[in-house]
Amino acid sequence: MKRAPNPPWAARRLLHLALPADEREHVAGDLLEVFLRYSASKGVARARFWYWGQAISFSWCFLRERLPEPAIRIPTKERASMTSTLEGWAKDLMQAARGLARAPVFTVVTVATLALAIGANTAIFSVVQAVLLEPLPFPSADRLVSIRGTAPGTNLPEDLGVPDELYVEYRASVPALEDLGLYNTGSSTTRAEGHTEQLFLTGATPSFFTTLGARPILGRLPTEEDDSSVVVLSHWLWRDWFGSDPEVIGRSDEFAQQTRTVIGVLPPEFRFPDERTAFWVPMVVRPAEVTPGGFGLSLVARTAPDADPAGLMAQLQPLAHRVQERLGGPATYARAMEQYRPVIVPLREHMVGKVATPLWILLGTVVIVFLIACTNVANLFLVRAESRRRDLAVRRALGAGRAGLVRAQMAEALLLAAAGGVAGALIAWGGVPLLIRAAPDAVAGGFGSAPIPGLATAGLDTTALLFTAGISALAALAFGLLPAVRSTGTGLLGHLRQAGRGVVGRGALTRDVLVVVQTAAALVLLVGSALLARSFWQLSHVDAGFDTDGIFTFQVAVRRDDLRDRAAMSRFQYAFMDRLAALPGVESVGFITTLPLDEGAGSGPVTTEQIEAGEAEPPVVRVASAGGEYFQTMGVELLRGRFFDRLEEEQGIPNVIIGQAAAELLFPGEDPLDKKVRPADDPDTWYTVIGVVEDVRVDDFRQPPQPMVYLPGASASPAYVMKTARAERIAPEVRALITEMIPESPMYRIFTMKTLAANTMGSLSFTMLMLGIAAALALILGAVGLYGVLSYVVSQRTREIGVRMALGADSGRIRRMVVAHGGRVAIGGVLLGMLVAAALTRLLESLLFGVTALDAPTFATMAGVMIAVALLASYVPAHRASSVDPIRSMRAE
Amino acid sequence: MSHQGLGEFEQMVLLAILHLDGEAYGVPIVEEIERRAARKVARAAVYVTLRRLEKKGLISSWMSEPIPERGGKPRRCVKVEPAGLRLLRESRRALESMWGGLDPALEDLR
Repeated sequence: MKRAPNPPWAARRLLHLALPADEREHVAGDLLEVFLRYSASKGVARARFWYWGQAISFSWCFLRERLPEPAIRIPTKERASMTSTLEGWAKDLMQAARGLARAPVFTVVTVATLALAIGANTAIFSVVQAVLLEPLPFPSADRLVSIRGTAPGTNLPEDLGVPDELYVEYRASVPALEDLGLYNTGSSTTRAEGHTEQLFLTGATPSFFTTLGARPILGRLPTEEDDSSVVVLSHWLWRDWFGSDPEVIGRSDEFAQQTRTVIGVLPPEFRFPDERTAFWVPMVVRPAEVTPGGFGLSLVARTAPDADPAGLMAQLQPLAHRVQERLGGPATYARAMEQYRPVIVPLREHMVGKVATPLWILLGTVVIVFLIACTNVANLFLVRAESRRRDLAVRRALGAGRAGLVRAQMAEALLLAAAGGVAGALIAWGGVPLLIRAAPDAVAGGFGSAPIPGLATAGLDTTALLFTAGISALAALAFGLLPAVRSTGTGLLGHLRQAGRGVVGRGALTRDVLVVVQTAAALVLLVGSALLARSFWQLSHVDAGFDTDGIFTFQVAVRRDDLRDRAAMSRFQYAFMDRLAALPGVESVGFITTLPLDEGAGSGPVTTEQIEAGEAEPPVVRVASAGGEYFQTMGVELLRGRFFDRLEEEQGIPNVIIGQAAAELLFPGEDPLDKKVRPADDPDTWYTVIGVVEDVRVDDFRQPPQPMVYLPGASASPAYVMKTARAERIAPEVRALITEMIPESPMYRIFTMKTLAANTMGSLSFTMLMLGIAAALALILGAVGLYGVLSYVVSQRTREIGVRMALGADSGRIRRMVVAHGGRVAIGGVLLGMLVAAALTRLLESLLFGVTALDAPTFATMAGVMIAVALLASYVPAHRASSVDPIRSMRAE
Repeated sequence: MSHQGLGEFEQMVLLAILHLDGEAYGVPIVEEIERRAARKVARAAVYVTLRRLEKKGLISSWMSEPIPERGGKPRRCVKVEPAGLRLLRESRRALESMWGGLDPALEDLR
């Protein structure tokens, strides 16, 4: 038997909440009776729709019924002084509630506008709070800094990190540093408790833990006496892999390809360098044994309580040179240390990194939307107050104090702001998870990139709710106070004398100014989002030198005891790639040690016979090892020569393929084919250039291509690339193949090139999307604001327009008059908006690409759009004005 | 409370209850008004009016037994009290005296 349909659950709840207890049962029964009848005759969907309508209508009617009857209240001075302020407020609020209930359109429009603006602000604020404002979970976190280094003027990478010899020196001789720890991150295969996975780990000196003030929840932390055979677990690894077993201490398993003993577990809030870290292993640095040149490590330090950044810098600066003098080392090292500059950044800034900019921009954006919403509501209030001038004037004449009248009007503003605040908090409550999900992987984190610290914990907490309450109160003041003071000011009695006849209220100028502000704010957002959209377009049309469509990629850390030497590994790799290529729909397969857009490429000095003969410094180029049909799969075009050959690779014949830019750098004006190159740190092997390929952008689409050298390679854990139309769906088949051929070997970094490409544009597309939504919202609110003002002006001037028409003005002229008014206001707004935008778009600079922050065409186009929308918004009221019937308009008075 | 008159809608609800003759509860009352007056009625308004009429003592109500076809919910049945009947008569008299003698004039205007 078919079950009878049910009315919507939420609608029933609404009724239950809104109806008095003695009405609930039978009303529910009556509505169900009719609902079932409708379901049978008109279908369940329509019946449910009907039920919702009834639920809302019943709730509205009964809530209204419960409000107190309106008292016709003419407060006298005497009474006002006798009534306590509190009582007065309560009465005013009651009265305001009734008044608002009688103007449902005004109420709904106002509350919805405010709810959107407050909700957006609260949502973004909770994220900003969690990511940028909440203190880091370390004691005296404000004294923690990240110290790295750079060597300008050398051909070393911009971010050098800290070499361990410098760490030793910093520890020994910098009084401004209370404590400091060295660490390094990586990923490695880990086997424990029946799991085999590629996990992130952090190698850290014992001082790393003391610097951060870490306290284990189980066991202990490493000391200087420990060697690398111990491990400290993260809370999540302990929970997920070891079932939170308190007996875990002392257990030995394979962590990062070495048997290590668990000595401690850290608490859940300790997530440093980021929450991907599964475990920490000791990094052993013995001052007596350091050698020059171990760049690339990271350093976290706690400054002394009285240290200032400049003083710290002054203490660190001379040390690199001193270390080099003591240790010696090759010429390139001497040069690097000569130029070495410490880079000190507060720890939070270091952890949050690039995300901070888009987040602050977003917060700025929603603040602008909030401003527009407030001006809009203020305008609605002015209009409402205007239409009540007579009523207010009567009250004033009968002795009501001005304060009382202002309070009566503020009561409405407060009620609306409160309703908007509650609805806004609800929007934010639902919106924050959406926002976190909408944040692209590059922002939200995945295997490839560090997640934003704190983002996962973002949500509505007390601070966020206080913020909501605060901005709601601010909103009430912003849109309520001005109209309230204005409409109760002097001149009220004059209004009474004129009997409100045909005068355009003094509010006209105020309203125009509000619309100017609104238009300006909307234009700022329009220009901002247009600049980002242009950047996005440019960036997605950059020729990266490789394809991103239909390419599946993954890494696998091969573990098989018979694959010890290079030849065996190479033979295995080709056999593996043959099987991959045999999967249905796979066109070609190749591999590379570091994949563009994911791990970028390594870099190192490369020399040629010519450079060597001239004793010049070998230039630093990007280096990776590639094999199989890597270039064909990625669509990297061959410009000259040929690709690697399978047999040569298995035999390890030293051939090399270089990029166009590298060819020009290493062999200027010459034919590079058959020339020899070798990595400067590998004195034995000269490689023969067999091919030249087009340049590629390895790090992201913004960086111009750099010189690149592709060595032939066998590698135990390269990134494989597969050209296939089924790139999105092929992962399970690849996994099955791995399980068959190399069980025990974890598969990881599983992407499509398309995902990686989208990720590199993540913060841009995310910011663009958010700013775009905000701009659209602002445009609509702005247009509605202008429309409202002009409609009101037209309705106020009906009589004047009637006279004009009676005197011979044609309707075209009247239309032009109104549109011109709209146009004037819009142009004022556009001019102001352009100025403000010119000042603010600089903040977007780090996100822009291929377009300047003051791009004239963008500014002009958006100004045009704004004016066009304004004219459109003016047209409807203009049309209404031009169809005024002169006779009727005069009779109406 | 001597000049507590009846609104038009209140009259219609009271009259609908009388027409229904003992079978009166929310659903048929709405239908009766819609059928006789040939106009749409906001259902909620009828219920609010019933509540108000009962408060004024013009009608009285009682709950029926729970009815399984209505999800086990009872009906609230209503009947008009003598005070309600009296006010209805007064309203009618007042209106009729206002209308008195106007019929030809209205015929003209039509």
